[in-house]
Amino acid sequence: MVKTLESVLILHTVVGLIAGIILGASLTPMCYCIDCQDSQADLSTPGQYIPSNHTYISPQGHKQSMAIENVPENTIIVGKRFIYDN
Amino acid sequence: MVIFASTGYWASIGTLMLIYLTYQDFKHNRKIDDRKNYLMFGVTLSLFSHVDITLWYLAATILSVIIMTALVSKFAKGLGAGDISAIGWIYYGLTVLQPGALIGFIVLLAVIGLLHVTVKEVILKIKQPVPFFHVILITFVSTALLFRLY
Repeated sequence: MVKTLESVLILHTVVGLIAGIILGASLTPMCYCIDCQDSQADLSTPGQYIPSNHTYISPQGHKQSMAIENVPENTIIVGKRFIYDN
Repeated sequence: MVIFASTGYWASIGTLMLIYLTYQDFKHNRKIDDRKNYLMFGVTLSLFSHVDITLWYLAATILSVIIMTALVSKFAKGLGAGDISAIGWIYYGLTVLQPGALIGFIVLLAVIGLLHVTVKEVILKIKQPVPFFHVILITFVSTALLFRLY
């Protein structure tokens, strides 16, 4: 296979993309719960119970897009992600 | 479904890459391995799997990166292609993570860049191009610390 500069650069971009997705998903964030004033709220353990109507802020608390507001009752964490039904 | 993950890895990997590229910039007299910049473009793209943004915002960020790259290439003649690539992924990552940090980065880059040019041209009186990656590294680390990106 002939390796052009473009193919090498695209390959590195893809490697970086995959590495970033895996790294970001595998990191365990400790969140801050505004309602409980708990700075060690573990929101990444599978099966963890999350109280309803509590607001959580990510470790980078200033990021509004990372804040989870009004988590419904019976929220169960699957893997490192939140899955809930509205 | 809400996806939740830490995005601190982006700033951490970015800092490591910039340290490596700064080392290369000095060691090989302004020649760097641009593949590292493209690796960082990939890492930056991966942020989209961890943050919740709209398609319109995504389109706007892509457009703004294209415009920024074109403007920097046209007006900042002293910068090399590698410098522009690095500024490109930093710009893109900060736009996705925190637009406020992007403004901080641009202001800091202008200030530190001006300081760099002043030292180079006025104090040391060097006319030929010199390595620039250390300016990007210092600016990036300062911005990441200031806006708690680690």
